[in-house]
Amino acid sequence: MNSISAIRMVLQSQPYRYLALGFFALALTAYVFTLPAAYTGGVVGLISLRYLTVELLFFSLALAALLSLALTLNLYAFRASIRQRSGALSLGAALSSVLPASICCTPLVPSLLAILGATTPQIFGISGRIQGFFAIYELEILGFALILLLLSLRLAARNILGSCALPGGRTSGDATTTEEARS
Amino acid sequence: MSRSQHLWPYGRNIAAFAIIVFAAYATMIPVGAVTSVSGSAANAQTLAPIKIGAPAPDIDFTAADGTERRLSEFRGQPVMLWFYASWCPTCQVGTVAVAGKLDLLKQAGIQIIQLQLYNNLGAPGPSVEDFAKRYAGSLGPSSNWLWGEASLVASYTYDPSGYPDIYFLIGRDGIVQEIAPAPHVTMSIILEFAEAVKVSG
Repeated sequence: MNSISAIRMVLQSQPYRYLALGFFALALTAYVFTLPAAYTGGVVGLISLRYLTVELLFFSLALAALLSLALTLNLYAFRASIRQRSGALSLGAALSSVLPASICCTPLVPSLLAILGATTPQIFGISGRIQGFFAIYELEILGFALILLLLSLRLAARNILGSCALPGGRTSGDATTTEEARS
Repeated sequence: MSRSQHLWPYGRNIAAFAIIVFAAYATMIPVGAVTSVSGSAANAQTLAPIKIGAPAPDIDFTAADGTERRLSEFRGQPVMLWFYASWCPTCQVGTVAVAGKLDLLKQAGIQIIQLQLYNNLGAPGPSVEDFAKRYAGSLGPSSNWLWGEASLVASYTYDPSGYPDIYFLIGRDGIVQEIAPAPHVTMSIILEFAEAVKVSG
């Protein structure tokens, strides 16, 4: 309920509503083209849409919605100078959501291993296991990214709702204001 | 604490995020994600040790019926030598795409040899038989679509980078004419090869 209250509070403001919609549009576009990359061998383009399965479409919508809300709430907190700790979670979620599509069935892993100095026999042995893991557990990894985003959203919401406006444009989320209040 | 000190932790997050995303995609774009068929083929050609225009090395493999076969048996016939891993999504949709063009490829006299990479590249997945049934259906195995498992030497000879989906189009003279991944994405390359061998045959 707290998270929904925070979201409602932030989205009541028209600029933040438009911002959230903008983030959603960008994120959705990125996800629908990149998530199917595991099926196209890394090719990103209109061909990606041909391999957008029902599961990938669900994850594209869900990840885009949560990412756009998390970014909007974090930006609201930033502008209100609220100390917030959910940035790292949003970062982790965004990265983990694109990992399966980037890693499986593209030349990325063999090339990276070569750059890191792995010998060819090592690349042959390791590359398939890494790519196989991401291919087999693709949906689980996307689910994990969803959970991270939900956590990030909840943290951002709690930070916003847990801080009050103080004189001087500061908020109770600032550590210094707490120390000043004590003194 | 000043406002800039308040802003720095958040700015640090944004900077770190931007750097990591940029680095990941900067790496991905030249070696992975591409936006064209030719780019996709070029990536595969970079990874394969065998180059276009070179003779295709002779290898042995175990066919799905258990017999030991050699690539040289098919000299004089155009061949699509395809290495795959059964857990690989591009291999799955690629097989469906090839099944859809099988008549065309048969008319061109192309022998498809689809070999599961040694040990399925270390990750679990359907067997050769299950994979063929699931994705090629009743069309594979057939007379011009041979299935099997590649030995370690064969897998390493053609695909030392462990790329899970790569095929080689070999002419009647045993010379490699094209190297590409993901047949469903690079089907135009296969069809051009089929047209060329039909004309020359």
